[in-house]
Amino acid sequence: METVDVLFARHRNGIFRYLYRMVGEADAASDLTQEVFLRLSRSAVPDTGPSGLRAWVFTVARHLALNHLRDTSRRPEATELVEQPRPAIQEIAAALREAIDNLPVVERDVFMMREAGGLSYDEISRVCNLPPGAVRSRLHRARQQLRETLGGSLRALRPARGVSLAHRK
Amino acid sequence: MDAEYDVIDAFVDGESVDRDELKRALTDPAGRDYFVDILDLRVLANDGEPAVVTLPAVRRRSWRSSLAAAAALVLCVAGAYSVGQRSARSASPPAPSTPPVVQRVVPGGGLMQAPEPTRIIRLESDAKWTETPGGK
Repeated sequence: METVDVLFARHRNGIFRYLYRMVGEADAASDLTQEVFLRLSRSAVPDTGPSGLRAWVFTVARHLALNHLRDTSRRPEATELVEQPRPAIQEIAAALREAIDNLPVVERDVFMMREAGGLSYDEISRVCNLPPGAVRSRLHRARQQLRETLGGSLRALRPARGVSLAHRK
Repeated sequence: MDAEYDVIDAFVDGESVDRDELKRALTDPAGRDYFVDILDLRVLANDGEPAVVTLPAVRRRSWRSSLAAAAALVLCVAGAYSVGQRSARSASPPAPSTPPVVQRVVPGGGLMQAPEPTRIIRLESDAKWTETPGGK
């Protein structure tokens, strides 16, 4: 059976990236990541395989992210008064951020679990309580919407960067 | 965009796919564009803030540490009991108790004195008792 330390070492980056994209603030994502592992440390680690454990960790993260979004949606948002000049890559990142924010919650959730967390369709289906076919179609829909929103920016990015199928750990 | 390209999604995501279906999707130039775009999305989605997170200090106590804590508690209680027993045996027996002397103290200081009598009534046995109105 794995300990929380091992789970932390293995999943903290994925959880942090997922939470960061879900809540949109690095500080909040960092706090929530800690909260995820704090909660895990207080409960018994289920005796399942690695895939089940990853789904378990992301289920806790997802609940916390949705609670956070629900709580912060009640508060007024701060308005940025001064528009800072941003380099091109930051502009694209900001555009992606906005495009992800505009996705329906389930599509955003499924997309970030796949891209930031590296979860398989089966794991996402367990975490989000969706049939695997629905995960596949929602993921496709999310990518379609992002692609339509960011089309020009994605092509502008291409000469400067390489791509890989692998996820960053 | 057509749902036929979700086979490209599945391939990029490491899921098992039908080879012919994938081949058909990638034969289409739009399918190839889609393939490259979703790889770019992956790069972008994983860019951003680095994870600066530490493991919370609160950890679940294992059964070993709980057992050690319980054993330490039992040892402390047993030690305190034996020390108490020993010190009780070595102490001298208590002196016989005498009734305490009670003295009343008035707020001004000094002992409280009974006031001087103003009238002395002698009680006699076989005295004739006459009830009069008004109690006199």
